[in-house]
Amino acid sequence: MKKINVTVALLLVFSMFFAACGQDGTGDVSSEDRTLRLSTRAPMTTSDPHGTINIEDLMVMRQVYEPLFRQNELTGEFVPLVATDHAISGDGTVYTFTIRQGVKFHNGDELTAEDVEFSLQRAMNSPRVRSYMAGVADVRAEGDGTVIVTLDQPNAALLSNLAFVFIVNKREVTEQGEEFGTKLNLAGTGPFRFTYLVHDIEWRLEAFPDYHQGEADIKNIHYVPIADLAAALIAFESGSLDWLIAPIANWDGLVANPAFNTELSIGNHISYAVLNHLNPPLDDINVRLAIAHAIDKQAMNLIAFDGLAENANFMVHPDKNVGAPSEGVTYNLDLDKAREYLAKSAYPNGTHVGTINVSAGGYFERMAQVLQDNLMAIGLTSDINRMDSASNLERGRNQQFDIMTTGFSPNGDFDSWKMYCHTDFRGTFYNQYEGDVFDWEHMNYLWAKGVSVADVAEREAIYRELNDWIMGTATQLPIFHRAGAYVWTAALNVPVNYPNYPIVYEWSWK
Amino acid sequence: MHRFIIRRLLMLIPIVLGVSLLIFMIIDMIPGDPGSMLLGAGARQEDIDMLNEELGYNQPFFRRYANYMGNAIFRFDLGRSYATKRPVLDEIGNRLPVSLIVASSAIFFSLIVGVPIGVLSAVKQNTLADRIPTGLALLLSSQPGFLIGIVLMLIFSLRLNLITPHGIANWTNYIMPMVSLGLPNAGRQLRFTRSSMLETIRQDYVRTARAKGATERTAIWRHAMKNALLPVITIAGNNFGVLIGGAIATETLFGLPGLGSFIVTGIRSKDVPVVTGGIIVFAIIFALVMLAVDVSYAFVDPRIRAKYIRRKGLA
Repeated sequence: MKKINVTVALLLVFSMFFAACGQDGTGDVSSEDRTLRLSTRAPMTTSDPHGTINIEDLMVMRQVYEPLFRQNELTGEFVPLVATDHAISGDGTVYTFTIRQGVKFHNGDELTAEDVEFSLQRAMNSPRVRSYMAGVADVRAEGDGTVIVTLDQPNAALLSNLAFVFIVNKREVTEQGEEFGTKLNLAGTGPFRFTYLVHDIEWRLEAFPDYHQGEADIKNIHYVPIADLAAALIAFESGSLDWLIAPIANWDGLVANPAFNTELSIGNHISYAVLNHLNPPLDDINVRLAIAHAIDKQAMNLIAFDGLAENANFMVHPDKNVGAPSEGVTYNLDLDKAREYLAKSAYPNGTHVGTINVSAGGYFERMAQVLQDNLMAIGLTSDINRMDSASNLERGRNQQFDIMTTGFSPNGDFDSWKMYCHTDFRGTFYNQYEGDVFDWEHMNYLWAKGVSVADVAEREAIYRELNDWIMGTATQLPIFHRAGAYVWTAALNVPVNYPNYPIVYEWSWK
Repeated sequence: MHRFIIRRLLMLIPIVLGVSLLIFMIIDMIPGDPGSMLLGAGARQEDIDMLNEELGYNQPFFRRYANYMGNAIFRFDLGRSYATKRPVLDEIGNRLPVSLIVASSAIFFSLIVGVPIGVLSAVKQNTLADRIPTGLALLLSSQPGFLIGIVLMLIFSLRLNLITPHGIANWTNYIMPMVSLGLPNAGRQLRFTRSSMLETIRQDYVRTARAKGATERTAIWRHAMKNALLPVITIAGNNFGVLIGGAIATETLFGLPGLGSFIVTGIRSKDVPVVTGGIIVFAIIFALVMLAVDVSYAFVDPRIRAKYIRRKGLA
């Protein structure tokens, strides 16, 4: 009797367990009500679009808030959103934006030019995003439909920068005060609005019925943070997620699976090597040029990215960034040339070039391993120092490195590379061009000149000279543009995958 | 007993002060500043300075520490996260229950698996019933939790499609973290229980119990077990404390918003209020768990209980 009781109890427990288990079933739900399940690599830090530059936050923000214009990440074209049009004064210092009429915020308020003025001024005062407002002297609303942005000096990259400045509802932001960003708000004009927000755990969006371009096909989005890529892939394959940027290592298996849709897209990103020209023997230009010709980009691409990335000749991808040149000084694998340069250097028999600093865990580490091997081929030895990314960043800035393998994402305009070169930016301290070695003032002049010209062809000519100047120093060596491996469920229709920020508004259920 | 508990609780004050000062100093010594960590590689120096000013990071070290501790002690305010601007206490309040559930369920799992098998293994020493479990225990205790976690995910989420592999939507989400953390701990508990039990069952009082006619079950479970449990409880308490803040890999794998990943994220971005607040809470919990472990000795071991009673009588 006792045994029978135990068996019954166990059966009861197991049936309860299996009843409670199971996935978020979606098979019998109509597409109208179906929730799109997405993940991000990190929890959302804030719901304030002026309070973050974190790419994971912006992936969500882009569904909720809108800038004046969005820049198409694949073509570089500007798509009007909150603004319908813009005009630039003859001297390039006054931008007049025509504000779209009939746009509603998620809280029901109608968008006014005053909201735009408020948002841009707020961004100017936020240390997190004010770099996008660099050079802006004044923002002024004129009537209900116009906003005038006045610059200190012409800035051809302004529109690319403004594509990262979101428009928020003045009343909602003012009412929430200091708490804005720490809780749910309805201050956006985007196709989706927040319905549920528990930071670090999950956040839910629903389609905004009064969206100015029409209500989205996808009605609900549910985001969860999954930091581990393998765990995210298991979640996708087990049906808990509908779309994912997948680990490259699993790409072939995903492509072969008929239940999934896949797309490989080259991103607006550069993976590159930095040589510290202040440290011997890298202070010798011939050693740097030897290294530049010893790097086997294809081997790095194969080892770090399974050969799926695009080998790079330029730091800024010519097809994805306004003003980026497609011709100029480039370096490719040529061991004879590398040895020639080394023979001309003070170290003809090779030497120890120091330490390659790298953030542990990612593909930059594999790039460093290949680089170490490439250097050995011409008689240069090196060590690899793995560390966490924050320490690596700080050491880079403090010149505590010889070589680094790292990367950055331009924002759609060649001018965004300036952050890593111009002597006004702290990021430039990866390569401290200021000093006696280079004519850095000429470089700064070219940066200023390039951004002051509106004509794209003219800008490209200036930027070609600038690109050649920087490449001539052999301090930043482009390796490859990484690929994004997108995979999504068969029931979902995704017309195009943008490299950094998905636009869910364009998606639909089949 | 009460006096002992009060004395131990009062010891929390210097512990919290010491821990907070130490953490403040260590975080300060880490290269970099929160402004540059938050704004990334391409930030302008003036923006970094502006953000550090806004965060109050430009103030002298001791002023920052005094402000922080003043607010913590008198207003029960652990500051706001530099990264999220949310009150640290609220963030900990969201995360602590997750860590407590994961840690306590893992310890519970390790005890109900490790202790009985450990006892059986000791009683049946040098038989198959001993060798198989001790071999398994060695294997399990040498496996990292996240590895077991991935195996569990592959089986129960991917193959059987039974459990959602991430999040905390319902109680089933805690099963795989519990098992992945609990299994290696169960292996260790098994080994501790076995060795403690082997020592105890050879004691005179167990032999006496048998000589007085007690059955083997009574001799083991009633007389030997209670004494053998002392080191087991100590280890379980220690492990519990460690799992509260140290299950970072498992939290990351299963997408659990726990205290460990919270503190580690804070360290990476030099988020001083997050790291200090998180570690203060962690230290308090650890001290309370150790107190509970010490108090539980009195309930398990009559000799320790007698000591407390004797002291009370003397007083």
